[in-house]
Amino acid sequence: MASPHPTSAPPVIVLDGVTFAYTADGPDIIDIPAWSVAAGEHAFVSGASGSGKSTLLNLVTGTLVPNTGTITLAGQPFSSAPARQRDHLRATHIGVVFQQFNLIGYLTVQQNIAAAAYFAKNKRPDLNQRIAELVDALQLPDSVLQARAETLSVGQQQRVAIARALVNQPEVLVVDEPTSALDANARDRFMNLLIDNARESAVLFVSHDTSLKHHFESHIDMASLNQAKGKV
Amino acid sequence: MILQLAAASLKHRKTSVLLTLFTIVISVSLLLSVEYVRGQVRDSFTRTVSGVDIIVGAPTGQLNLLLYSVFRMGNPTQGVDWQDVAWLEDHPQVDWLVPIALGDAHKGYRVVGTSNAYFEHFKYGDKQSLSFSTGNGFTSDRHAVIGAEVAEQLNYQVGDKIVISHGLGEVSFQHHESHPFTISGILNPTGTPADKGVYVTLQGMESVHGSSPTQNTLRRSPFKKPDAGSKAADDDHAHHDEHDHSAEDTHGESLSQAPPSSISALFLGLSSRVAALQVQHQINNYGNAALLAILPGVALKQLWGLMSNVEKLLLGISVLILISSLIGLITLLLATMRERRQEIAVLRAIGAGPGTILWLIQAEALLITAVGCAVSFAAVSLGLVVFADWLNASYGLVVTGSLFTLQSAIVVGCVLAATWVCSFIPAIAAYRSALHAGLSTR
Repeated sequence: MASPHPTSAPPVIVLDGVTFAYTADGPDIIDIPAWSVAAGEHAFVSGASGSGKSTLLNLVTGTLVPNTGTITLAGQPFSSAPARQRDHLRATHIGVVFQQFNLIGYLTVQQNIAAAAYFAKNKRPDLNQRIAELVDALQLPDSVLQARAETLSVGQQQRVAIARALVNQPEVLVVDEPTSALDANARDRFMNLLIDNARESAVLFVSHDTSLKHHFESHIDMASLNQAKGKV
Repeated sequence: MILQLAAASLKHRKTSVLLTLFTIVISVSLLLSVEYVRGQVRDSFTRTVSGVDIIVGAPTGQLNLLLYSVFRMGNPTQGVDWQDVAWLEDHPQVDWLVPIALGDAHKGYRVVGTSNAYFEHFKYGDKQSLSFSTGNGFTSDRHAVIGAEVAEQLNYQVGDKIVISHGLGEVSFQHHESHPFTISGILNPTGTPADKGVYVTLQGMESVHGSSPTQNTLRRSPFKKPDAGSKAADDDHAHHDEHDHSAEDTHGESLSQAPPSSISALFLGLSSRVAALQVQHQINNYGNAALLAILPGVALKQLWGLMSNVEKLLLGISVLILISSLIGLITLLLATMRERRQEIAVLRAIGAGPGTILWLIQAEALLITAVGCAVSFAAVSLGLVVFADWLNASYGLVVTGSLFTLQSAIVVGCVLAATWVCSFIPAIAAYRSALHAGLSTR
């Protein structure tokens, strides 16, 4: 199957004949014959609970590996790579924003963001400056850098999570239901900040809230993307 | 970064971490203390006597003879007759001999009847000779030399008069007040039982018990062999010769050469140490009297063998306490695994591999133990400084040297290695959690 929203840019994520089941004799939860996300493309994947959205993200980020088929990340074999290499590829090519509990509460904001750079072996000398710029771009005060993450509001935590996901300038930004804990105003502010700051990255945004789809260039529903009959 | 993460994680759970740290500090301190004291006791043992080739006493156990003659513990069951001493003195292999007579005490410190030869020939540690901090040896039968600890504890100076008491206890009802002794010299500290001795001449000791040395003049005078230890006495004699000598003799104010009736033990120095076994055999088979000759090194080894069982038991108990502390540490880390699943999922999402998660948990365990070891080192070092005098006074344990020894380093290394091994239990649990952690932390 071709990408529902083909672009001229080369694909950064390619799924080819991917199936996945949690148990050997259980039903497939994921069955995606072919799908890709182009570099810089902002894709919105919607779906109801149990449709396999989170499983898809785990496959795309390499924390799960498909039973059949292959996943390619930035032109490199990803799903077939050894676990350690997958960890490294994930650290260097993918940024992740969770729905909640994004941050390690006892670390400062600076440490939370720097940890992502550390695991990606990002040794750029201006790392602290980059972190400060990101925090500034996400409309957080400088003083927040030395605050422990657990002392921040939910909205601030979400913005710090975006900063952490973007610190390594990843090719892919995976975002999993980040707005479910936010009210309408906060949600719109969050989406604008996210889109503004992720212009250089492909964004794979997963949510059940289809009202967000206007922020994205492409939209696909799990029901049409995933051929599997099984439910999570 | 891993250590930074580990430190921050521990700080986040500081109450439970502090309790665990406390148990680690106690167990490591115990282990370090036992190991240190073990080394000190072993050193004390090996440094107690050196340069003495054979110890001779009346027939008794090898250890008993060693204990009462060297460590001043216990009592001889019978004495060695002076005529047998004369035989030993004439033995061609015997270079020097030092008599030891026990039986009295001064305020809890053993009184040792001996001669100036003791201060010349008795050695401790690495063949270090006894030396005087002030004064000198005997120049009169009414002179006493005291060990460093006696001088310090009882605040005695040269010239002070002391009275010895019958028996060995701290409290005695029979004081030889009519025969006071004047302190002529104070020995430098040695870290051996010599520090706890009050030394008088054999003749002085005899005289306080009402037996005049001159009554024994039928026997030969002691030490026909050159007694360099009496050089000071000889010099002093030259000075005394200028005075009315006969009057002083009457009052025991000069150094008599008259032998006592019997003594408790003898230290022998041989002209050739190679002959030690042969001489020992000859003494043990001496026909005229029953004598026991022991080799100090062999007896010390046997005594240490007995002592080391206690020391091994202490070490074993300390190790068990350490193990229980490590179990507490593992329990602490395991108990946090459930609440840390989200944290692990986040770390995985930002690129930390399962191996990194495993190392993170191990780093936390090692950090707690490393800090515990550092605190233990400081606490034990401080404790040794603070309690040094008490240890010396109560147990005769001389605290010397630093706690920072190879042995201590080995102990700490073993503790850290044990922690590392034990930390695999929670670390593997975290590793498994990391393997199955998806991006969803809901």
